[in-house]
Amino acid sequence: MKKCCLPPLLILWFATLLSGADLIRILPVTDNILQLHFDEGHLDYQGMGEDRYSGIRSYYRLLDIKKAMALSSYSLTSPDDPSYRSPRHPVALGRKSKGAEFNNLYDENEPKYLSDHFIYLELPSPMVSGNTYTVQVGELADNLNAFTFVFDEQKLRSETVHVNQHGFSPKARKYAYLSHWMGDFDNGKHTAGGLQLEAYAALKFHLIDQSTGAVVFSGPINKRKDKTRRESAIDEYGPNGNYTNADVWQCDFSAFSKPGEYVVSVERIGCSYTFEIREDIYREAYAVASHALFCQRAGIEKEVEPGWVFERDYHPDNGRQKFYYDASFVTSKHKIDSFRFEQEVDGIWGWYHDAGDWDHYPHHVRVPATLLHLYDMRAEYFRDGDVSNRYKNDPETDWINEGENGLPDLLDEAGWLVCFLRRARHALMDQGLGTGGVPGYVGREGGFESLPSWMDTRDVAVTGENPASTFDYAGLAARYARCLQRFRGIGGAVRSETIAGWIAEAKQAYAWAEQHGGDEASRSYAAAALYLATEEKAWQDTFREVYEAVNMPGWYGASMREFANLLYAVIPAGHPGLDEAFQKQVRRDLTVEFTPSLIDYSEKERGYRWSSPAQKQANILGSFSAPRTLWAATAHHFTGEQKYLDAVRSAADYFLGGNEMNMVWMTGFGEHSEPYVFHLNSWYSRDYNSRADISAIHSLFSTVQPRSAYIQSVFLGLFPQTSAPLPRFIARDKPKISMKRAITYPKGKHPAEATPPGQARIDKKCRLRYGSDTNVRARSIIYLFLLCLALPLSGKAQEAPGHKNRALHIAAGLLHFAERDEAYSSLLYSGALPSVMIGYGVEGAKKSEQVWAGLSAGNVENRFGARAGITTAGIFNYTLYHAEQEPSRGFHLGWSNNNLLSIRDFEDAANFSPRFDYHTSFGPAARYRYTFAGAFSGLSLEAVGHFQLIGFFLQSGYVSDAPDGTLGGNGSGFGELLRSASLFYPGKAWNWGLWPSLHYTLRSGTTLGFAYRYDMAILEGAHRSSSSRGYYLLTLTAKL
Amino acid sequence: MNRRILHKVIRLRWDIIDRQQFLGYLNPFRHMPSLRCPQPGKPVFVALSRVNFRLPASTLALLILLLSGACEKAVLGGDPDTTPTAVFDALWEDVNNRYSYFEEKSIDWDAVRAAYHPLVHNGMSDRELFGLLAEMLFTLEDGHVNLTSAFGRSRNWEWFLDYPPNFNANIVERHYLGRDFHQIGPFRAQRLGDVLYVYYGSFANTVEDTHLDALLALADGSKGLIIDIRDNGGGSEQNAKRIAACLASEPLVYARSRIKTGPGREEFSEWEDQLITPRQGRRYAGKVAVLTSRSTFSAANTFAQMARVLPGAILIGDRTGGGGGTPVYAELPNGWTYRFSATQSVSPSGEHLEFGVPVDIEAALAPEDEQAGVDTIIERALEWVRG
Repeated sequence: MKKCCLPPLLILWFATLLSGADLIRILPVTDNILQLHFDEGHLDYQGMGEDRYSGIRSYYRLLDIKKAMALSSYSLTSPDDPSYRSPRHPVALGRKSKGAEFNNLYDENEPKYLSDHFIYLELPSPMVSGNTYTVQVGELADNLNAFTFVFDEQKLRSETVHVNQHGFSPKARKYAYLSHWMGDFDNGKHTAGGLQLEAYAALKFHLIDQSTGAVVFSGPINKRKDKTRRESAIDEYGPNGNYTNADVWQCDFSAFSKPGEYVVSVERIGCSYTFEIREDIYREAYAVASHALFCQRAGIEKEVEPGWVFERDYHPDNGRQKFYYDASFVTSKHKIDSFRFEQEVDGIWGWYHDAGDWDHYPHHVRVPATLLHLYDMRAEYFRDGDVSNRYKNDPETDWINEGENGLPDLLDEAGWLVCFLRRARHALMDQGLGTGGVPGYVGREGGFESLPSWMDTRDVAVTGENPASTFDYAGLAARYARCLQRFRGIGGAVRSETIAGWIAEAKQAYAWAEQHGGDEASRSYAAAALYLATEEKAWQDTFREVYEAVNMPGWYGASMREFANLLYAVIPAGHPGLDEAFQKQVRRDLTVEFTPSLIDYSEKERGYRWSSPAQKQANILGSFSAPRTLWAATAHHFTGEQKYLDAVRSAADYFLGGNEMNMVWMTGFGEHSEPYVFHLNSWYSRDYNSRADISAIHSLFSTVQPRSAYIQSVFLGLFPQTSAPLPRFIARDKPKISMKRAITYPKGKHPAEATPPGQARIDKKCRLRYGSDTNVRARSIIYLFLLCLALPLSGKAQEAPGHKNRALHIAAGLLHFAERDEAYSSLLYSGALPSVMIGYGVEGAKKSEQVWAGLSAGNVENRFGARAGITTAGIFNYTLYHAEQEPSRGFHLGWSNNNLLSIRDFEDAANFSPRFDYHTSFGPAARYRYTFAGAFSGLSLEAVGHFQLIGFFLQSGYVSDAPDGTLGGNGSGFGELLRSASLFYPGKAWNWGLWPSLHYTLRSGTTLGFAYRYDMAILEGAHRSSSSRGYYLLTLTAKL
Repeated sequence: MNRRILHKVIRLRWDIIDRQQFLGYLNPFRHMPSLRCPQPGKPVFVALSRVNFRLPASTLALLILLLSGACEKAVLGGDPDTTPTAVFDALWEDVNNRYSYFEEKSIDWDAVRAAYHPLVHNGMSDRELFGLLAEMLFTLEDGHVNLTSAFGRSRNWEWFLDYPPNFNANIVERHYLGRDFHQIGPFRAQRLGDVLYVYYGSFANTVEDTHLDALLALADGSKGLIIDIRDNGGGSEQNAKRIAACLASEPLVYARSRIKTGPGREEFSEWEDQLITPRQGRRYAGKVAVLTSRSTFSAANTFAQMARVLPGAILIGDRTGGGGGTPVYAELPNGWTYRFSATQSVSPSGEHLEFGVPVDIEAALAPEDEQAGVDTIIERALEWVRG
């Protein structure tokens, strides 16, 4: 992406060796308020082998707060604004601060943390667009005394303007938001730090094309939500649960869709970060986020970037640790104090690292459950080579490139944990340790000695078989089998036995879990997945039984209950035995459950639009937890309603920069993305000396700054390995809130007066209690990844009839043609004719259309050997309607049009030949489509039938080769044609056909098939002519 | 649900076939005497309805089996019987339905059947049957009636064999066309002094615009045009119209036609005027003599009628042989083909062209002229043109 339009002079980054409170940025909040950003310094954390208590080197100078809060410390001048010919002091100011670097808490001589400070200056008179201004700060800043800039709203970014920095799909809604919280700033108009924009209400915003500098779109700004509006049930999140503490205004440029790179510029305020408008805007985000999941894989040597390899960790062949199994220790948690490290076990490796830890938790099944769900909804969007992750199972072997294995990379990722669970299950059984379940928790919690995971020498705990996890595994195995079915057979990447093996695994695991009392949510998921994969109705009955009998909570918890219901809701119509009424009920329940919270409230009532549960959305240190895009995308999939698609897109907008922090919560995207993704192996392996490396901002992990500080500072306070008391600000009752108060300003007596949750994010250079911040961060990545996936998918589904899948069909073969022209002969003329057809098909969300043109020519004979030359051509098209996009099964109705011409030249009929028939007609059409599953996946059967009802026809005359209407020979050609035409209707004429065909879809999406197409036509004008056409065709279908 | 729908569809198909007698005209198979279900009494559709549709492959297989063989039979039926009686009946029936001159020729076709049908028996040979049928057709006294088999072709040429030929091709070729005649498409043309003589031997030979342009260019400056269509057995009326269009300066009705539409003796379409429409471009405005004989037949006969209504043209020679009905061609159940007239054409004054077109100036080929290499009729035409 082209970089920012910001004046480089405003971004003042300095190498800070000995400097302290540097003034690093000045930005306008409006033409009347400036924001000055001071940075207190930098901590160089301990490197490899250094002690965490003495290894930190600090470089800082604390901001003189008293001086910083004095109006006299600042003045503004301008050479071209008469109001500022002589220096003028601000008339009001305010501050907000956050901890940014976290020191050794036990060193009384050092500050416990270093902060970022934001000083807000209200100017005595507004700045004028185009004029130059100089801010003088005297001795307040260590790095400079004054700074000069031009107030140009089209080029100077304002922290007030918030927008998705990555970009928008052309057809999406597009909003920029105007809002800012200024800490303790309060001048009577802007109260409690909330920027008030009523005085700017009449102003416009403009969209500036970054390639030309031209204004391409303008519109008014509108107030969206007041800062007093409740956005959460949790009071601590802000005054009345408001996330922002400031009014939120919006700039709506949804009507603009031209691809390009733009900024939103608001008169008298400033502009946004740059962003793009283009199709497939989320594709790169998908690839990077998917790669992030890959980097969480354990047990392999993996290439995280070209030339940067993470060594294999937690593998039995590494010899670094032993693996122990405790059958009696059934848990899903890391608290394994009483785990017995006695029984060694082999062959268990290949899980996912947890967010910040390197251990496996049962809830990680949400990753494959989500990926498989997405793939099942929109398989066509995912290809092999999308991500192309490379790894080695064994360091001595060659690289495996997942982009070349014939499976979409999404499925490679989805299968990773499923394969781990199978491996673990069989390892336990093979060694006589297990009876058919999968273990719950595996690994060791926390990091190890500031070392990367592959240097961890702690023994690994494998806990006992877990019934709930085994149900989960059963469901995942079944759904994985279902997804693999597309790649089975000739040219496919998967063998039939493999799929059958997965289904057997699923059934065995289910039986074991049921026998051992797995929970109902997981059982529900397993049953739904088994029904989808096996088409055995009994599984549906089980799912229904659980659904109706168990009133379990958890809709908001991304539980397996939710995954089960989402899965069942998207089972395609026509799936054998599908209880459509029950599915409607599930779908209705889903929408009833989610819509009020995620759409009606969350989407509509929040200042910044994004979908999350209204009452229960977690916010931990400024990091809102995962948006509920999977549900919204699913709801859009089965309803086609725009509001669900909008919800998905608005969540993407929020996490990609259209939020309170003006920050993209996905490293490497946009101009201001999260630089401190919590990924220990990246920190530990990138820079052992803890030096920040910000030079390579081009992919997910290259911006991660190595911070071996993770294990020390605040983290040590929480889990002390010394007897030192806990730091005071880490209270056990409400640690998150207390922590926020401790390191932020204003603190306030009430949470409502403190930093609002939308801006509570701090640099994640430290580890806080519960690990929630990092966990949330990782989950945000995962869910943003899902978001990115869901968007193009949902867009496709929604935009029907705009969006359509197009295909070219080619068919060739033989036509068994038989015809009787009773004006000439009562004998049947028949024979085989070479035949070619070409077709064009469009499959939309609600209907399928195909048009075919065909030509056959050759000779036919009667039983006495008399020949007739035959040429027959036709154009046939039909439209069928269905409830879902590209239904794999079902019976669909529609209409058809047939235009059929047959010319026959009887060799013994002199100038009575050539004779012809032609008709154009319309009538109903129907299609039965059946896509095989299981061992026959890849095969599909389709039969299209039509019955023509109304139209017209022409035929050679009763006494001539020409139509009877032309025999007078005196009229115009058109007049004679009209006289010759007869009405086509049942009784006068007949035409119907049935086209059964069997197809096999290759991995590339190309389809090969055999079709038998039968068509009969009877026309009764002055005489009767009838024909029968049976085409034996080989077909080739290529997606366009 | 899908299986239920498919089952219903199949049941419906079975119903249509099984209850055809109740569906009246809605039954598309009602004209199929050989229509039957593949297994009478136990239609394949019934069997299909019992298929377990959990196995779509079997559904497909059954559909293909059903469609590939049964449908063609069901829709088109088999070939008709080829016994002599069936062949006789088919021929008699078709002629009865479509032949157009029973009334004008006072032919009692039922009587013909009564006379010939008893002679047909299934033990007779093909040749015997052929002879019998040819004889029956001969009663139509129509030059447009033929019966053709691998071993013979019946005909009725009485329309010219009973009359003098009035045409000697050798004389025309050697004494009028000579060695240096102009071959323009199907025309042979020669200047006979100030008159252009054109011989057109068959209206089956297509006349193109370029031929007409060349011919008319050759006729430029001539005192008149002689178009000789003696011994012309006809062909396409379109060729006749193209030539006549060169000689007309305004649209002219030269005849009226109607088409046999059913078995009733008076089941015809409405009379429709037949027009000569003047040609766009080069035309000929001089005198035109059209030479005819008894062997001027069918389309040539029609051209003669056109000449009758052209203001600058006359007919010289003998009455034409007729052939005013357009023939239809057809095939018998045993593969023999036949044709007969199925339309009627009359002059504007109501004379049936089937019986020939009278000439304006009667002329015959005199034996002495013939011996002397003189074509009496051409000479008479020259005389008229120059006169």
